[in-house]
Amino acid sequence: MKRRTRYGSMIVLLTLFVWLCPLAVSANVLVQCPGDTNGDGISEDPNIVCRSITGGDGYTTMADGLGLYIFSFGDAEGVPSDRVIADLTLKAQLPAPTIVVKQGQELYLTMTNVGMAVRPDLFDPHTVHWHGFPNAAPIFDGLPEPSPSANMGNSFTYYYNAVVPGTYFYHCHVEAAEHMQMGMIGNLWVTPKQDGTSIGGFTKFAYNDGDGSTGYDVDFPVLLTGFDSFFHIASDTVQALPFAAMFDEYPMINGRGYPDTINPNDILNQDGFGAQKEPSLITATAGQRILLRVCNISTTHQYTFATTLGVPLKVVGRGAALLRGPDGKDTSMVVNVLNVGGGQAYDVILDTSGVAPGTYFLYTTDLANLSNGQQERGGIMTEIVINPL
Amino acid sequence: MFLKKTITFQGFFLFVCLLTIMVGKAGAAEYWLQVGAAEMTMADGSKVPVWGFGLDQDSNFTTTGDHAVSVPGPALRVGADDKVLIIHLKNNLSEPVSLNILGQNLTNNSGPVWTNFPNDTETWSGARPAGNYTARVRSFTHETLPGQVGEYRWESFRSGTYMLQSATNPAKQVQMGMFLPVVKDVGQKLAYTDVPYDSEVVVVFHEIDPTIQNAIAAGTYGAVPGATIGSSVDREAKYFLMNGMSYPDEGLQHINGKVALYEGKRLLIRFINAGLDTHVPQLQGLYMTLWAEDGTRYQYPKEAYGFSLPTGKTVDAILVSPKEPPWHYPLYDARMNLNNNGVYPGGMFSYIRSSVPDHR
Amino acid sequence: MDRIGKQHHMRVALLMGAFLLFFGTAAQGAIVGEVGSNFKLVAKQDVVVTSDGDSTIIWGLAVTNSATGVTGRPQYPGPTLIVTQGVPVTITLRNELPDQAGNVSLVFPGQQVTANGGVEGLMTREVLQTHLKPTGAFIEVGYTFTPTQPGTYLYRSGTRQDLQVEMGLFGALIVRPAATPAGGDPAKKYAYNHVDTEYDREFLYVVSEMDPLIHRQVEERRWSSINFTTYFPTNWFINGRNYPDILAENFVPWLPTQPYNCQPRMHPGEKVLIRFVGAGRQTHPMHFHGNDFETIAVDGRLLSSAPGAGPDLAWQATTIKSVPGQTADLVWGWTGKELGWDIYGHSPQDPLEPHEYAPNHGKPFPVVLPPRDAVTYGPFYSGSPFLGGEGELPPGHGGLNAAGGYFYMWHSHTEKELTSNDIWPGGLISFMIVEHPDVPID
Repeated sequence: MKRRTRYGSMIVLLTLFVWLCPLAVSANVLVQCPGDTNGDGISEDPNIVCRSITGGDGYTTMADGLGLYIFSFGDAEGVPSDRVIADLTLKAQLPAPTIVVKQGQELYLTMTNVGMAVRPDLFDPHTVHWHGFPNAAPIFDGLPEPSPSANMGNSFTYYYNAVVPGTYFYHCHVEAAEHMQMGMIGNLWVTPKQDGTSIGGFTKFAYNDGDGSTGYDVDFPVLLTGFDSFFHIASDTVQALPFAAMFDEYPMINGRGYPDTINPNDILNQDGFGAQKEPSLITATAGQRILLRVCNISTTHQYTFATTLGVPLKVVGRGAALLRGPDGKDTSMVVNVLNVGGGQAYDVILDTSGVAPGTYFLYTTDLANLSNGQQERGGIMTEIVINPL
Repeated sequence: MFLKKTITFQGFFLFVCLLTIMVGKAGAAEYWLQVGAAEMTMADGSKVPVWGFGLDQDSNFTTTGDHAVSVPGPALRVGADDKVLIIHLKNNLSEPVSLNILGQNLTNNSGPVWTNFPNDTETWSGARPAGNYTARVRSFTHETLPGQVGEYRWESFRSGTYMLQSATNPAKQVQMGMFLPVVKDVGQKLAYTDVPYDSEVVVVFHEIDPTIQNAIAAGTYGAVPGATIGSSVDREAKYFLMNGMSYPDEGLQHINGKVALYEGKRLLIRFINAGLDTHVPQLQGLYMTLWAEDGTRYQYPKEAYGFSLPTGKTVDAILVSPKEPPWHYPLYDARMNLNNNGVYPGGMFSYIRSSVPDHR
Repeated sequence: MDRIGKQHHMRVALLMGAFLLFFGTAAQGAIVGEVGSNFKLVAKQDVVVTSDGDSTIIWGLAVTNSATGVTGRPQYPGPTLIVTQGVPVTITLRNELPDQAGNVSLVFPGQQVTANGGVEGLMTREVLQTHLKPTGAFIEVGYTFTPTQPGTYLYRSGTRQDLQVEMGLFGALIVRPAATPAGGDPAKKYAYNHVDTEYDREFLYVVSEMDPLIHRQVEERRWSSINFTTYFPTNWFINGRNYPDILAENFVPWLPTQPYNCQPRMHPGEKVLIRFVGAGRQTHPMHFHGNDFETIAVDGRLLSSAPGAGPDLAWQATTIKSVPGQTADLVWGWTGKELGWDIYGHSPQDPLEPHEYAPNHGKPFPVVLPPRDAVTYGPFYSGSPFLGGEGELPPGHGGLNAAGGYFYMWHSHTEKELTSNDIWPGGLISFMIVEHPDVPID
């Protein structure tokens, strides 16, 4: 569907001034990590996971070569507090760094707002919203309206007691339509207590199923989203943001359009930084069970996808919950195509028993989204390589 | 046993039973299909170029004029006892084609086929060339080149309602109309375990953007020199069809055809979305029972008067005749695609009607 | 930060006045609408206000008071009709739409309706416009049906559906169970005929959208310009209002044609029933912060493995697609259990609150919050991370959360829909407020 209006995509690009202005005036860069005795950002307590990320801006490259300005989270793991702003400015990643914790662990997630270097006129706070966290409290929910959010140059440490396993994701919730369109999204998973025990030949599971029905051998993220290039260009060039006209025409898996989805290397941005670090190539040995951790965080589209494996998608989890009724009835779904609306997450098992070794495809059946903008044969597609035993 | 039964809607839609087509292969459904270009007339009289499948009537690809193509293509049946589906495909287009059925295993697949996009001067088959991260897939399965005949075999064919589609540049070829229903029951008039039916109808939803389809037919679409449209990302459909027809086409006045549907009789509706957009089939005035999705029977059926049908999905529903005839109930798209190029009434609107055979 | 002390309760009581001024005193937890079995409706053109300050033409339904015969202004959405299972319902409809707007009608998905009067249309019997001076059986149409099952349903125009539904001719239909379910308590509320559908409070979410161009074409009588193939909405509504207008009370005088609000509130441990109605033509994935919901019914039918089994196929998640023409019933609750810290900021010797998760009682707050000048305080932040808490707020802060409730945004996750005509915030945003157990809600 076409938009009715298009805002200034052809406005003359401003020369960019990257200001590493001293933000120390009100700077509170503080990574909180209980049990970290030697200052390396890792807790000595095995039940505590500490992660350090940053919120700011950067650049990415689309699969047709178009460079686009983004906001997102960067990876400040192991970076000393006094180096975070300097080192992580313009180092936003798409998607944001993946966070994995085990059921029962406590996550101390510090997010430092390093500011938007390309837009020194903006002073947006940033937050982290753990999408789907059960029984959340607003102070750590990342919704800016009922909580404090970190201003530029400052950190906020979020605390989560990860008691419910499943496939989640996280994103900034400040001016959500803008910050999410600009790319502040990442994968977040909680592995179940059942992991490590052996049931039905598996030691990794999506949930505490008790019977191995969510057991898998290999897992892969399938984070769906899209970019509206006109919106990103407007943001880059200090123009009014076209909310009403917003329409994603660069659909992506894990931050890339096909064929970049199958490229095992980082995709470099215009500054030579590998902002897009998450390939989407899915590989398995014939007979293995693949777990796809699927979510959609597009601000304009829902996406439907299928695979050409010839085996169904077995949906065992939805919204970080095992598909079982209140009294234990099996409500899992067996489908060939799955529609994922914004905000939805699914756990999909592909059982490759009987699948001949070879290359197959995971792709959107919303065929118009097999595009990188005006370039065909791109978009939401990746390859599944089944290797012989 | 199996009798040849043809239900025709404006000559577009055939239901073919296996026995008359089978050529000496026990336990196999075998069809000869051609794919070619044609012109389709919309409900408002305008014409749109399409690419569709047609059955070759004498299964030898030699007699001219006996393979009119249609969109949707002819509905094919795989017998309940057939384990194998074989399709011989003759390509009358000027670009390669291939076939795939989501949810079924193409046993003799010797593809996929990648090209050095955008020039497409080099191809690789079977695997991506090592270290090459710029080649793009053109076909999910092995290709049948223009003028050639290809064979596609699905062994251990699963029962249910499916859709056969082009597996070559699907955004282009499936959009142009290369799709058709394929159904397999588990027994005589038995769609799934404990799901008997008296009559059936397939309802295929799809849309047409004439600007894109004209560009595809003219060769000015895609990553080709002189293209006016590069991709379908800005597609804007102008026509909305059920079984290749739009309201007020005659066939939609009684979409389930003149098959017995009266007191207590069960109509099996096989919904298929062959389009590029989600549709929401909705029945006005009745509930139906949803029994299966993508060819897999639900463990527990659902009672609903409407449901979301995303692209590529099939849903099987049973509608029981609620009362003595005559009755009719609207079946339409709750996404409100009820126009023909903007003019109301039109688009995805039809009636399910009762029907009492003369011999009753 | 502040811990809750004895003075908390007094502060809450003192501040309730200021708080209620903003959030209104309407009874919380009940859905307002027309209750009965006979309804007289009139389709009329009027105007609604959007949160960007614009106004737009709509076609809404007005209610004719049976006793006085007086017809009010139309409303968007149409009145929520609240009826009882097994009791026959009759709805009459008259058509006062402007010149050239055509006939009007109503259809009731899921109901077996007998229509009489008027003329035969594509979907049902339609009524001619009043200004054409119809007589006799053409003055109005009547629709009768007996709702056989309880649940959440909708009604909408069956004439020129793409245009008339866009213009606003739709509403919710709620069917109450005929009797207390087997094993149930007559003092409790049930959505369906099963004890597992019990709830404490209910809230309605009628979701719709608008393309202002269509409305402008209708206003200017440019009928032949109306083209739904280029449909592009830029306005989204819950119960007929954009955010933040949904925060105001029901029936505020400055929204005369948009009477319904959307302001869910509850106490920890309660069960809230959310009735979703997909009244428009777009699917909206609605996301709930704070906790999972359980979907117990779709299209007025329990997700049940067999008759009488109750909602034993219920599924839980934090996001559900609201599909056009489809309804869904969700049950939501919140206790804050297993958060790992005491949500009330108690000392270990303080008494437990109702439904408080005892193992976390007295556990300290786990992190150091940044100083005030390092953060931006949202308008609904009380100044304290604790439920019912309060803290020092920066100058200029509105203090809109005097009772220290926990606010959770319930919104569309197609975030573009959180705008009104290009203005952020707007559209499909609402907030559930979980209040401290001592805060009176109704």
